[in-house]
Amino acid sequence: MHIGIVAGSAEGAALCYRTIAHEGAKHLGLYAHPEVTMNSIPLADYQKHIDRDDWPAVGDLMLRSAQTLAQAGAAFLICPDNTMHRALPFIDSRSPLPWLHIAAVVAGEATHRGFHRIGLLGTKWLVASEVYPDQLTARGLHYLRPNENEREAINRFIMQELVNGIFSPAAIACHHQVIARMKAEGCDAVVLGCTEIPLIMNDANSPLPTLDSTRLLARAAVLRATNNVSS
Amino acid sequence: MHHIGIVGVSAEGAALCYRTICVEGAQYCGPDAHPEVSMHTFSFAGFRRLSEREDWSAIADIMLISANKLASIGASFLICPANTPHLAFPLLEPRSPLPWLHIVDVVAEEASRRGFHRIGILGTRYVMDSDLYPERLSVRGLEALSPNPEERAAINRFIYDELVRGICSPAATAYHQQVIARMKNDGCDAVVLGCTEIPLIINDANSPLPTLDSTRLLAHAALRKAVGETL
Repeated sequence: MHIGIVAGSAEGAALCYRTIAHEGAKHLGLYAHPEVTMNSIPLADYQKHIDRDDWPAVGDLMLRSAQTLAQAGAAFLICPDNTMHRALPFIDSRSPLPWLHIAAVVAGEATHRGFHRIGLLGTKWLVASEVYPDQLTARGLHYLRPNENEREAINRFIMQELVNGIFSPAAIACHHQVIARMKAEGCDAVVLGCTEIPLIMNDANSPLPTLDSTRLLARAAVLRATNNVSS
Repeated sequence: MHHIGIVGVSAEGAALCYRTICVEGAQYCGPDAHPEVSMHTFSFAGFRRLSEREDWSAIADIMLISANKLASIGASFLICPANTPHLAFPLLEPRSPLPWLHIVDVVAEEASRRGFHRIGILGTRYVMDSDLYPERLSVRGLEALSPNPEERAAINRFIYDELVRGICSPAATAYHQQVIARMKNDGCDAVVLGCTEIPLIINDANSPLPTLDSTRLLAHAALRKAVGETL
């Protein structure tokens, strides 16, 4: 099956695309992967609407990408951008193709690994939203959002550094501190709920086991495309 | 602003080129802005098998399918961020629905602009064995130097066993540095990173010679074309 990627930020989209190519080899043999088409509307166009909390308008842009990818022959869609999932409910009924929802994939993995209370990391627009809480609660899992100061600090690092390909020690230290606080408050795992966070945090440097949303989404997409399991 | 179509072949090089377009698009288009980009990628396994047989005609046929898909979804010109498939261009371009930027022309133009004279060529064995670079450099009065047979075999092995699979080993970096140093001794004043994955391990900071990075140069040429500069 042909995978369609609705790209948001380029770093996350590139990571997801590369992961699909490499994961494919595990299922299909050396160098092989499913056919992939990606459409990338500039982040600046999305950000204009995100800054105003205008999620229906964000959805309209995603729908335009979705239609482009349907035209190219994609069989289903993924969006390797967590924040943009806030707009999915506005376009679900009009989408030409089905979507693999990033938070549903992550929540499925959290259940599978037996976690109970999951810390949420991501942009301020994501962690204030119900994108993850809805999917986690539906599976009987608990969650913890960052506090106000933490949200602002993390958001600043994402928007000013990570999306521009800048990876500073200060950004790592900040994420580390927030995850340690979540651990102290009883979390047993943390969602890296922004496709850029895995560029600086991973199981080796995180105080809690990480649920890497981008890579989990890429793996789930490969599984679905190769018809093994659909999450 | 024109819509850039990317025919992806090897995912690492394609991802690097796509990221460069999006992240560095800001230099041409303003903060977070870049031209719309669509990328279509068939499984690399097929390209690999056909390259081994040096069946450039079949590779041209596959790329033409990608080109037609990208044309159908609104791309206005095409790039292929992989050097080896350019061996298929004479069979592809006459049938293509859209114009292409040729990666070797872009690199040769930059070599000429920067005043280099004798240029080392690194890439897959197909590229290093071919006239792809020598021909386009010599029309600009520049000389090309290919690695010796033993070096070609080793570089080709690093590319297919490691780089296209997303593996970046210190041994690969050290070996490429050694070949570049040898080329410098033999009178080269620059080196072409003529495989879009080589920039994953070699750059101006660790190379004994100034690099002509085919991935980055193609990304910037595409950006200039998309914003309407005459190339």
